Amino acid sequence: MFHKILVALDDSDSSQQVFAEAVALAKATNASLMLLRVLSPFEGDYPGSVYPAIDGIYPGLHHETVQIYMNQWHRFEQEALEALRSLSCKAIEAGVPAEFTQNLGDPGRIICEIAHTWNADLIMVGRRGRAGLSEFFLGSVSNYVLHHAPCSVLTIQGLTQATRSDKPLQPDVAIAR
Amino acid sequence: MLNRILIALDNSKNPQPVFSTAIAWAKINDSRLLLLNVLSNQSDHTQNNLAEWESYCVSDLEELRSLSHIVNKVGLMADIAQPLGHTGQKICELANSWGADLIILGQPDVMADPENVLNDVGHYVIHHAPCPTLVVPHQCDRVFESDIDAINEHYATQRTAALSAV
Repeated sequence: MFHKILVALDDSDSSQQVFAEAVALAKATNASLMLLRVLSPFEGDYPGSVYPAIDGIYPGLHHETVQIYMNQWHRFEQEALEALRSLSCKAIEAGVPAEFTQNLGDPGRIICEIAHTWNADLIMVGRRGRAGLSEFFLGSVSNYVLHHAPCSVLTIQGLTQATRSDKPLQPDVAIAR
Repeated sequence: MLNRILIALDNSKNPQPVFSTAIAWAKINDSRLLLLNVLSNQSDHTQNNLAEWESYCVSDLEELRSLSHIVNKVGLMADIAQPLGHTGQKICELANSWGADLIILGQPDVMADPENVLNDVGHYVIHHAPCPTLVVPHQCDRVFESDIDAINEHYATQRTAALSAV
């Protein structure tokens, strides 16, 4: 049914859960995974170095400062890529064919673009679990993906049985969560 | 893995891909389905007339019943429910009490209310659901050409009926 699953990851804790669910699902449906991480300037640990001064003027920087910033950025990129690579290896070890890619830019748009070019059948995203007003302003990635995805979108919250630690499910009893 | 799948059928204008997707998932996991249609004042149905409202309720319930027959033909179990209330809240409530492992709904219609995104059912469910949520786009290039003839027939007859009614 689903043969190509695009998994959108970041460095949050929920990403681990999304990854686990993705591997479980891919094994059940014999699908292959594409692990995607989009680095965006609005992410928490994006190394920032250029701070606007009065009137929004960005002061010129010394050559050394620019160098330091470039190194920081390069290190950040490499670490993120390594994390992706290790996740991809884990998936392959579990018997699921997996590729990975790391992009820079607007997460929502890039997720949809890659889903389109890679011909994904399913996009899996996590939720940051924000609610209320902050959800309105900051839940923009899943929001965008929801409306512009070329295929179904599975949003992971809570655990499905595959990854839940052996809690037997009684089919005829209503379960309170 | 996924023992119980809740399908919210009222969310999108075109329920066929939602229903086909749901059956496809359910067949893989051999799950039990809950076909849900929430009667709310947010729907398109006009409420000028109590009799009209009641007839909509009845026809929606009939629709649910015929869909559940299709599910049974495929070899799966289906429950149906038609509660009254705020759509998003009811979906999440029922997901909780029925013990859903997955909620499937149609893509929220962004064209309907672009300024009022917070009220949208799809967004509500996604942010408040107790379990994973699958959103099926209503115009998908990769819609499951359902190999279950019953589903195709059911929606084809609906379409011809709608056309002849116009």
